[in-house]
Amino acid sequence: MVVSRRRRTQVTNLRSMADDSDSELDTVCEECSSGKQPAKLLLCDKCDKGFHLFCLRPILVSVPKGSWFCPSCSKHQNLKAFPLVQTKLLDFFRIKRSSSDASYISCSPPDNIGKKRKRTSLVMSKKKRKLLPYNPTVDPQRRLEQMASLATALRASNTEFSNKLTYVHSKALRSANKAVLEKGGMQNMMVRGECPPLMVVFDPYEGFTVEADRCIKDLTIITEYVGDVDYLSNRENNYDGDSMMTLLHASDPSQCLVICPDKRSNIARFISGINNHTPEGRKKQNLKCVRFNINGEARVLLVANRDISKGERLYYDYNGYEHEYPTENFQTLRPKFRSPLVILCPKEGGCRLYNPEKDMVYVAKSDLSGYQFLGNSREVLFLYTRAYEPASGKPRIFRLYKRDAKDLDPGTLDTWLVKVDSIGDEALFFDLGITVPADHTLGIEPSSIYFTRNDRRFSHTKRLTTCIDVCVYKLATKTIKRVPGLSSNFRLKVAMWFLPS
Amino acid sequence: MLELRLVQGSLLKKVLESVKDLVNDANFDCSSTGFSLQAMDSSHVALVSLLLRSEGFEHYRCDRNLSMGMNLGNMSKMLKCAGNDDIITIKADDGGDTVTFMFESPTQDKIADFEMKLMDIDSEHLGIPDAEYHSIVRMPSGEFSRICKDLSSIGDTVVISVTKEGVKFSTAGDIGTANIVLRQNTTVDKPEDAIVIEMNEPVSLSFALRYMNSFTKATPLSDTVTISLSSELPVVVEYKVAEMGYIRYYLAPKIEEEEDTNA
Repeated sequence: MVVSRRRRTQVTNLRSMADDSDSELDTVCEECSSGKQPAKLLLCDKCDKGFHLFCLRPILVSVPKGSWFCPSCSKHQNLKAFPLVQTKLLDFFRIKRSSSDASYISCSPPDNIGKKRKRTSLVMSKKKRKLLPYNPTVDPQRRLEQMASLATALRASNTEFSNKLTYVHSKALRSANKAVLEKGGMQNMMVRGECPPLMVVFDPYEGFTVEADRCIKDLTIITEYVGDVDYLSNRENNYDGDSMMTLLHASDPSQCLVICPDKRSNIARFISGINNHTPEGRKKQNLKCVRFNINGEARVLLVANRDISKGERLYYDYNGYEHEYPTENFQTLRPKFRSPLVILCPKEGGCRLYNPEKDMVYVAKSDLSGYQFLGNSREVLFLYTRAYEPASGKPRIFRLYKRDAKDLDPGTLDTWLVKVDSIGDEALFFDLGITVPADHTLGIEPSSIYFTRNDRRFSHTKRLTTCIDVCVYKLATKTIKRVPGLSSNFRLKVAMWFLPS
Repeated sequence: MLELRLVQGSLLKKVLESVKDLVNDANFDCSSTGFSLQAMDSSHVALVSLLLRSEGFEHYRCDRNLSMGMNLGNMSKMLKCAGNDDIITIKADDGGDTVTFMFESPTQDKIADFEMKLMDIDSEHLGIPDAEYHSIVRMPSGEFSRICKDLSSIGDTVVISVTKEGVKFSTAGDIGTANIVLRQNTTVDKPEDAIVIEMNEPVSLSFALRYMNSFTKATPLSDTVTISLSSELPVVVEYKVAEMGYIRYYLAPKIEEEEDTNA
């Protein structure tokens, strides 16, 4: 009797000192966290956790004669049959290696078969750095809610749902997506599909963003980044989409492909990006964006790079796998929209735009990121402009920003933009990318932006419109006016600016 | 050049009916051994594997191994236009992008031909090893179909257990539970009504009933169904296609959930 009591309750200090098991502390009661009255501290026969007889509910009077399991272990034994998780065939059968060039990694069959206490592990071991499938939510009601949140977000952004890369005739064809072209080769992987355990929420600050609705383990594949596949060269001049993802980064720039999720996409387009230049921004990152070779095609997958708890927002580094630039002399701008452009402000002054993918340097304007980078005598200004279809009735947007004076510290790579409401006594000529002093005699008004609507010649339906005119956007009032006296009398084909020298 | 002529055209019609609800698009592979298909459903939980051996066709010509991607719903629409007694011929050209189904009435007075566009389907074939199963149950297919239908009105998961007493199908749901036990019975008038249970080891597995109910769409193909079970392996539900081959369904079991210990 005494012997069994010894074994089943808190042992003397002698043993715990010599014991090098997981905890360095003496066993303490799980309820009251104290190790007092060790003779009344009962140890669970399954998990070895300690409980005082008087801390248990219901209170035990004495040490039981037979085996005893703590409340959590006994609950597990009763609920052995519920809930059940549906396995997949791929957990049991391997994919046959095909004779073609693509190769697959197959899952190994589960081990620990037959043992009742240890659950069967259908998950590939992390040691080998294999990727995991996600565990969708079991509750069908919750799954419907997840899908509904995605449907709402897609509807609001006027996007069709598609869970696959789409190849549209006017853009890139499927044959263009050859993973062999990727500079440096790609990782090989295998993908399965279902509804990932994510919810799309609307944040007033970030817009639509995605939260995990369930614990997601490290190295789980969350989703694939899908959309219309197009050539990078097509999209550079016609930047309509606000989030492009590099699909194929080939040595030959004309073969570079991007994914444009503006028309068709899935949940990936709503996942937010981090500010990858501040430590806080990097801490938020819990996903990484990786490109893989699947069946000879390039595909972009979002993979968890740490364990994610339920309710956590998902973030990844938009430019995570782009090349790093030497940054001592450069300030880099990572605008809200994914763009490979870098602003160089070398010490000798001036401002240049550098596109590392093409290894080209531009001066002044470029439309690639939706921003125009302008220099005037004093500072660099950034202009964001967006034009809408005439039919939609939305006026064109102009927003001016400049670099936040506070962090012109060359040590930081980040630069935040501050809105600019007035450019004083200057007027900005959008098409030329320069500012000029206002001059009433010439009809140039201060603090305004002059632009022509050359780009409205071809609407999306490729019909010629003769809506060429000259307009002015006043920064103070944020309104657009047509410069009178032009468009009604002339049928302009092209409008260009000439300034008296 | 592919040309397969099947006198008992109704077999092909029934085969399509049993596959089209599980899989939408699949590749039909033709080789010298026969006309086969292996496809998983969209959730990758169930797999159907079909084989119609070349010997069962009246005329079988397959010059090269061919893989034809077809939308099974559309193929079924075309096959529905064939009479049950018609002779069905499948024709395709190497490198072509269409397949032709020709239906001839047995009296040779009506000939119909339907041409369908083929699809480009990327399919992964699973390697299914020949395994020794712990238990094999053979029973009338109509009985199995009835059991699955009855149990799905009670619950959505069926636990199939084979012990020396027989095979038990159980389910539980909101309104209550249900158990159906079948014992071995070989003393019957017709061999196809026999229930034969071969138990090497007792086994108990859980499966989703909705997949079982789509498997039982193959009941018209055969009088008997063979269910092979093994712990921690997918179950195999097999219907033989009259001297020509088989249609086998594989279904992954449901297992106990992993606990997420890291909060």
